[in-house]
Amino acid sequence: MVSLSRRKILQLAAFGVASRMFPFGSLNAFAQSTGDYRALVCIFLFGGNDADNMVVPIDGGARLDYQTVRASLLLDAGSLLPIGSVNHSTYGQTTYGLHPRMTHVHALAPNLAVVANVGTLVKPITRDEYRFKLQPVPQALFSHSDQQIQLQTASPIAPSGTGWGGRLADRMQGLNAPSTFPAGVSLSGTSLLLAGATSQPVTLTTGSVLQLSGSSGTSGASRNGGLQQLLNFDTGFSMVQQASLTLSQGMQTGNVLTAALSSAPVLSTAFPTSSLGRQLEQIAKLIQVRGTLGMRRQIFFCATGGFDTHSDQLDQHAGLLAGVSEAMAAFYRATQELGVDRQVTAFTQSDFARTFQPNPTFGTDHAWGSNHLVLGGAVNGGLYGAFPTLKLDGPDTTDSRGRWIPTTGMDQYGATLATWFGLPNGDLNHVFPNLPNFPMTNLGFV
Amino acid sequence: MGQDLFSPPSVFNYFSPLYRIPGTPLFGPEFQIHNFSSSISRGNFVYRVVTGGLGSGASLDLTPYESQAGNPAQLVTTIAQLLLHEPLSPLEQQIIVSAITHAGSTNTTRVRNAVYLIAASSRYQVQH
Repeated sequence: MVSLSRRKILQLAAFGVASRMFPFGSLNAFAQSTGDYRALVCIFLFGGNDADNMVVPIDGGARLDYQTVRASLLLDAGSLLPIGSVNHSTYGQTTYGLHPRMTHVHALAPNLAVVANVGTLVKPITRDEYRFKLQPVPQALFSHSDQQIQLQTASPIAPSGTGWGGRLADRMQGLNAPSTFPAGVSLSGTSLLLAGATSQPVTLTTGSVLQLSGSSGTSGASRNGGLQQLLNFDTGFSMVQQASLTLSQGMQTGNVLTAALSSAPVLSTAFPTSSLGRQLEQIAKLIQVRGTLGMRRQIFFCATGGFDTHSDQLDQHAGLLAGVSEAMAAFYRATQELGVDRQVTAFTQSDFARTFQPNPTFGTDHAWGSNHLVLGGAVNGGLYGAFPTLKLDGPDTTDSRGRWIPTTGMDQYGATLATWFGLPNGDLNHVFPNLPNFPMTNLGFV
Repeated sequence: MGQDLFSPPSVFNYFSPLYRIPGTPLFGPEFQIHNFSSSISRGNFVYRVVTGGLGSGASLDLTPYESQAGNPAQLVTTIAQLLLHEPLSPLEQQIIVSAITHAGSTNTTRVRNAVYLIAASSRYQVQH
């Protein structure tokens, strides 16, 4: 959190005593909170989503190229769900459609943006610059772990200990004052996206409460009090103190959360029972109690996996996309139920897209530029960015397998979201250090 | 605690050897999966251990220590010697003694709470 001198630890730990960290007396005053609330929800699809079968050309030259190359994995044109058309630089007017199993988000089309061919980039790069190594590219392209990290840190070359969501929270969390409840909440483990320099996220697990067992009764109360005092004690060992800080803050955050959530009426929106569905349901509940927590800006991280479809992809991928679609649509309806649909924007991320050309085992392999979905009441529905020319010897592929060189950088994608979130223009380059390499910092989809 | 030994979330196992504790220069690989939620789970695991909640086939017999419960300072020192690599400071000792000797405490609860407090504390939880 802050640099770890003993004095700092003691100060923090002492300050962290529940009665001072969250001035409970004033918590109720927040309950009438303010109209100015914004939340970003990152939905990470781990493994590398085959975006070329999520957003598919329906007609024209693009459709012909799709049919030719995608062959064993092609989706029937009649089954696709039309989502918009663009004037493609190679193909002319082209209509695109969503995968047939994404009916739930398709029904929300006016509030759904598709951002085409987004990926990690150091700077815009052409095919020849890539092939002849004339410009820098992100480290370890096509590597799951590296790309997952870069998409969260917005640091394509040097390692970074903070994520762009965390840096965004650092800059914006002043709006949450006087509440000190963290702006970042992860529902999917420790999230690098949300790690900041001064702000650290809360990590929650669906289905379990952030409470120590056996806290009630004389014995429990005495024991918990003793534990808290032990956690406040400075042993002189940095790592021991770090663990103490985590548990101590966990206990206090847990108490505040449990109190806030227990007073909230049950949501009537039904969520899928999948892992992603339950994570998004928990996020909706947290948004529901934003007033009690005193929050005006929140960033959420959730995730689902299984997208690394190297073989027998068709049915697997269909199931995965159906799941994402249902969960995202349910979440949107929940924000409508809560009256905050225009104040919450959900967006997808994924390691990378996959080879346009299938492999011999009816699957696809690691690629680069991907298509992403942005869903929310403030979103300007439609297609954004430049779809690639779907030729294996075309201008947009790194090699002969159809790995698209992104035409939009993830920094531009993120900066658009951050600007909507309220980040001042002067802070954009701090949150996205690479952003000056790109001509347009707001893509306009939200 | 969700530590399913043979099914990590990906081929990259549970945590990276290069993970640094945020905001510090310290390497702490295990801290990558240590957060509010997992720290509470650890505390609750200790609770289950001391209250016999490990399920059938595994139990912890704390009765041999109950004879020392009449001298709480001695009890705490004994448990600390068993579980920790260095002695407790006088203040920590005092905190634990005070917590376990609450009104209505019995020999059983004193032993149980002493073990809980020491095992849930970071001195025990973090190898250092």
